[in-house]
Amino acid sequence: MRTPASRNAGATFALLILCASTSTRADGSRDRDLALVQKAEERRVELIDRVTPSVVCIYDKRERGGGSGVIIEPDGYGLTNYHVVAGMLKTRTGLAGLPDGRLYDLEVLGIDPTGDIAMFRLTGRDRFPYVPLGDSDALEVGDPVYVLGNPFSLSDDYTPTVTIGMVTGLHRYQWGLGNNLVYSDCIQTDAAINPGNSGGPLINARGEVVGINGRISVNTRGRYNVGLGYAISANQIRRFVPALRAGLLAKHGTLNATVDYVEGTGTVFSDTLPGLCADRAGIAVGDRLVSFDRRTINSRNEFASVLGTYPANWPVRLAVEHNGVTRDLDLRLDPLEPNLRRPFEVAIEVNQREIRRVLRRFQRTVYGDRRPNPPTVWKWAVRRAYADPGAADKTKPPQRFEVTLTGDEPAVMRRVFDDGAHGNTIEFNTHTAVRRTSADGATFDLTTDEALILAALYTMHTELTAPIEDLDLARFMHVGSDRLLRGDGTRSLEVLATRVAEDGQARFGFDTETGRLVQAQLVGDRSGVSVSLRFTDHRDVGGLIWPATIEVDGPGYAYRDALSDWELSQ
Amino acid sequence: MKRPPLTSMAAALGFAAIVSPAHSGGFGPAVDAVLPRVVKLYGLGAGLEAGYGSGVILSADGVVLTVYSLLIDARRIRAVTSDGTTYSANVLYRDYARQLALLRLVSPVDESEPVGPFPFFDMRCDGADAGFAGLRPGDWIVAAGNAFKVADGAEPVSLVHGIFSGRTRLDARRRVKDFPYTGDVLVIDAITSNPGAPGGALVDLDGDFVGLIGREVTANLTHTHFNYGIPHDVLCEFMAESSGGAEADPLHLAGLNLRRRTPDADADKPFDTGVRLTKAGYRTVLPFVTRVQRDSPADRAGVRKDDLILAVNGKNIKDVDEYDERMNDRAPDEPVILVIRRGRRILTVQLEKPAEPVETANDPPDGEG
Repeated sequence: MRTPASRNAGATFALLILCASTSTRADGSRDRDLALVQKAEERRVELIDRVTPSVVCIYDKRERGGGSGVIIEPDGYGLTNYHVVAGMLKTRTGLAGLPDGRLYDLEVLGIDPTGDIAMFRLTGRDRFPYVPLGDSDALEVGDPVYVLGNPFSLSDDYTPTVTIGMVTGLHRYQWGLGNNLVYSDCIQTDAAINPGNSGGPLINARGEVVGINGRISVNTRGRYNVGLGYAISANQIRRFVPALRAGLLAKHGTLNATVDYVEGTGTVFSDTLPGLCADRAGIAVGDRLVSFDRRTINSRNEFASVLGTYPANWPVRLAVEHNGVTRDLDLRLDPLEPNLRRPFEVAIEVNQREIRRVLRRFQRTVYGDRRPNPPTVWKWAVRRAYADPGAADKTKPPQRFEVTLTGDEPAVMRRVFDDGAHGNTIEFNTHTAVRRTSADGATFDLTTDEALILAALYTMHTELTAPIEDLDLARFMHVGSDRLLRGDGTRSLEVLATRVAEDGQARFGFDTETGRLVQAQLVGDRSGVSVSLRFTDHRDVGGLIWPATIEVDGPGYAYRDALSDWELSQ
Repeated sequence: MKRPPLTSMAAALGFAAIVSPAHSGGFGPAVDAVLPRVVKLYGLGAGLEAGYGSGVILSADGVVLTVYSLLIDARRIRAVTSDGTTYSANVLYRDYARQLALLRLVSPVDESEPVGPFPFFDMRCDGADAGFAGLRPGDWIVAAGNAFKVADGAEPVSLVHGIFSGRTRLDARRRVKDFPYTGDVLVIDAITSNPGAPGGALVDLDGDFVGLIGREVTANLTHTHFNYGIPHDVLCEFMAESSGGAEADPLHLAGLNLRRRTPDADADKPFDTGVRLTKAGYRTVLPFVTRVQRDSPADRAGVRKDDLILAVNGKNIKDVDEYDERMNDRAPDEPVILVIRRGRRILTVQLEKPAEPVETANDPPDGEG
């Protein structure tokens, strides 16, 4: 560790240089310069001291290999490169040396072979030192950056090597091997990165992780630093973290289309695979790609670069020009299959750990510090407003609906028109929709989308809110990240999927930042029917913090239910 | 590029080599100045010669300075400016001795169509401009060039930063040949010896153009790749010669100096010793001789199958890769001295270049201009 003596030596050096270069200046400014130099140096030393304890030397179980990593959460979750842990996937275990001089057990969680990222968890301590992820989009060329890691496996005591440089390029694209190890929209630095640095952090001036170093340009003279290193951006990684934490094989998105850059015209679609993403969205060969998720696309490189940062199934908005007319297309990206030597199975206990964490956070938003204790009877009434009041069967908006959910009785939904006459009644039992009774007593089967909506609401009210130890976790699966379908598109979600109704899947989306339930995507497996629910206006509803508004997008209709009355009882 | 105003601290630290300006926000002016003034060049490539490089814009109408290389022998040189626009580039002038060349950007469609105005570095060659002469060892520099052609289209070229170490005469070679330029160079500690970077700009902290990134060479003194810039005053001499009173007629100049031959081709390789080693897979392979070509220098010197090669020209080698490296990294006529182990004996043998004539490349013509 640094001693006061060495600090003084540094200060003396600074003084010498300043004397030489400021001899023509007044003494006062020289003193001020010296103070500034010392201050800057102290800040740098402080930053390195602060970051160092979280930097990990990664080895396999036989203490071979040698990559780097960084812990980003106090409970021992950290990031490294996929190519660092690729040899550990059989056992999903390894060893991690920390600068405290100890070796800890390392568990490989999820992997992202396309983005060359993997997540691990360390055990053996209650609390680990960590460095949070920063905002890599805030970087500018010329900004200072620090690289920490274990190049050439130099470290015997697990203390990292530090190299310093600046950001020398942004939004770089570096081709991968097939669909693996693609560095999209990555950060370039001249801080020395060498074999062994892989997986270690790129740190900004605030001491945050803005990237994971994993690649360098090499000359014919050997595999070592020649001034061009690349880091995967923290903002890309953040989109994959939910899937990685949940032990999944995280896949990137693809349009299943190619573009060419035509000088004078721009980026033009040159091929679309039939029946897949771009084709499904109605994009034709020759259409011009104006922007991808609000980012203007000026080259093929830029297209590949921007696209490569998105997870599979994420919703994106494309502006596409067809015959001189530009329109917005909303679509979900197809998955890009990584190349794996053996299939990567999800470790159930890793996944369930994340389900518990997501539910615990969600329940804290609902109950505060109280123990989860869902009401056995939920009874509420809503005012329904259709987005398109002219549509059939919606003659007298706004309408009133009453729904009663109980723990062991069917849920009942009753529609009340403005004139006070009772409308349809829907009886609904556990996860399967039952029947609908109209005012005159005739019964019908529920439509698939009605059943899906009710089933999802039922799951939400009876299961997501129940004490976690009472839940059958096998009914759920953490399926990674998603993001809000509307709004500014910057909020990412964590998604728990479960079966609903006879034939459907509900994907509940929880805000990554707040933990709140904000979205549900419902899909009928056989029917293909798709409904999306957005939960907003979270507020105190009978002692629980609960969404007071639900916006529903179904096949051919859209409406908004605003809570007008409620009754919750045990 | 938007950037917060410089703090007084950054300005003060411009003088202090102990704290990197990157760590005080001080590289902003240099980065902002250099990136728009460097162009990406694409031309002829062959073998180890990258078909891409960099150039520096020196006038609003598109005169570009770059290094002399195979690249500019292309029938069509393509130049991409920092805004992503593609131009053609015509060679105005080239100087083999200084290893420099001057180009002019023209419209790829119609050469007579005026182009620009471009952002450019004003060389300010006349007048005792202290800004460039004032570069002192220890001063920060930023080098900008399209190393490894990482940048494409409108993407800005790559940067490296470091310090100016000193000024010295260049004594270097390119692979096996002496490098023609033996004048002064700016020695820097930033790595610029990468394909594509030569021809890029070297600027100081204020963003003033102080030198041109030189071609990839190996220093004769250290046998390591050498990072340097051609100094501003040498560039000025070159510029003065290139204008030579014929400034108004660049095509005339181009006609005078256009040369199609490529003196730098890889024709003269080191002679073949006749030793054959086998390498398979990724594992380290011991340098056992697997075959000796009949009547080859090795055969005549008595090298045999199954000999283990321990050293080449005084340097120990541990595997076939290192053997290849040593063998490729020698002058064409340089004899090879091998230390070999045969059974329990250690032998030293000398392999001489065969007497019969070998094909040679054309000698480079005299420097022009």
